[in-house]
Amino acid sequence: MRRRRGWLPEAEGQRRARGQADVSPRHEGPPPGSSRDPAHDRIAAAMVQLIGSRGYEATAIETVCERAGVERADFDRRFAGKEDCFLVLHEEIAAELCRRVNAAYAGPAAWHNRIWAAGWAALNFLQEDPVRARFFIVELNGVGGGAQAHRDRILQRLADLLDGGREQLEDPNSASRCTAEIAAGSIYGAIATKVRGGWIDRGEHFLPELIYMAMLPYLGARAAEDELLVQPLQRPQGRV
Amino acid sequence: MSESSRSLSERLSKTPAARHLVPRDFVSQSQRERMLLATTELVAERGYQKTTIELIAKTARVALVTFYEHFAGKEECFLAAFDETVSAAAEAFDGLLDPQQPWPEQIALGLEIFLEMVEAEPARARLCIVASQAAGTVALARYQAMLESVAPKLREGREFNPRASRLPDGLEVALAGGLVWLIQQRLVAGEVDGLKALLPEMLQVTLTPYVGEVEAGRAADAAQARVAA
Repeated sequence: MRRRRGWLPEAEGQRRARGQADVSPRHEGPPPGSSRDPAHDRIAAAMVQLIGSRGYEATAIETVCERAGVERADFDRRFAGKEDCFLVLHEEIAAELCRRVNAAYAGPAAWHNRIWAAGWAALNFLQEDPVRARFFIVELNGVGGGAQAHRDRILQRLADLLDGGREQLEDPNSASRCTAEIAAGSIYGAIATKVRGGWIDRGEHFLPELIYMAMLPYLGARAAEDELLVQPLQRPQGRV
Repeated sequence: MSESSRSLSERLSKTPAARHLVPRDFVSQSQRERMLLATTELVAERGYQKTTIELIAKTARVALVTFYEHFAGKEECFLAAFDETVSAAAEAFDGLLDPQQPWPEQIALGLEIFLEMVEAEPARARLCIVASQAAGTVALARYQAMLESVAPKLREGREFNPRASRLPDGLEVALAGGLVWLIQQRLVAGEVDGLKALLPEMLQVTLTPYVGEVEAGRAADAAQARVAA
């Protein structure tokens, strides 16, 4: 049987009593670097925009090239085909998402606060460009078996962060990494439902639901439910 | 819930609907069944994309024309295999779960049956859990529907939580997705032996939102003792 230990530092307890969580980003990183290949960047922008709005199946390489203003040969020099291009771009988006989430999660703060910050960074990333979010989460499913490995790597990274919650348990060995994997799968599924339904850019109230699912196995039902009452601070404008 | 895991295996294999989960005599099967079985095995081995109609027909020992007499194409054949497995599994659940039992025990038994099925039929589990997510939009919708079909049973647990109105609407589907993803990882890695060892932890996570972590812990301890036995 698991019991949680006392987990809120006093300052955080006071903050939550006011109904606010510290979700401010901890790191102001530089904007994501370009690939130093303007044609690659144009293809990337066109591909993400077209697939994110029309779908993977309905998007032809020719249309991507036309939108990007490049020749088909320019595309072929860089990518083995549509699937290869999709996976390369997916990897690039994943790297940027991980960079932001890692930056938000880093630091000496309590695990609870770091998860809030990481969740904030992830949700902000998805909300700032819903078409890219669709490309990244929904259209991945249309690409085939290799794409699932991409998604699974992201989920494993999420499980890494959640697994830090074991330290919140009275006996950290009473849960294994499996618990974090279940929570990661649940959170990803909840996000995917929102993105698929076109609701990802609506409001911040979704974040407490994700945090609830993250805290549930480690802090217990009651404490996790308290997360649902937290009103997140206003989302910062622009990229973080 | 005092039966041993062995008796569950026996009961599962004796359930009429669940007989489909056990490979039958290959020769005696109808052409359609042979094609569904071939699809299941090929998809589990090679993935959906690399499974061709020619390969399905060859493995099932039927002519190409016979394939097209039964199915319009690969996707239709895949969906038929998916539907057959899911409905057989659903019938097995219905046959083994007793709605009169306390809800936490139904969930414990339901998870145990699920793990038992995956261990017994990894190819079919791969088809329904792994391949269906990469086999087109219709298959993906069926996978989603499969997750959603579990939600009402989980949602019954809300009556144990006096603050249930606070819980997110999508909690049950998300939970089902998390549990399935855990198993999906094992299927992809080919690590299906001993899956039942995951039962206590799966149960703990599943029950906590409804009965709280203390009650969930008791149920997980009981499951642990049962699995160890």
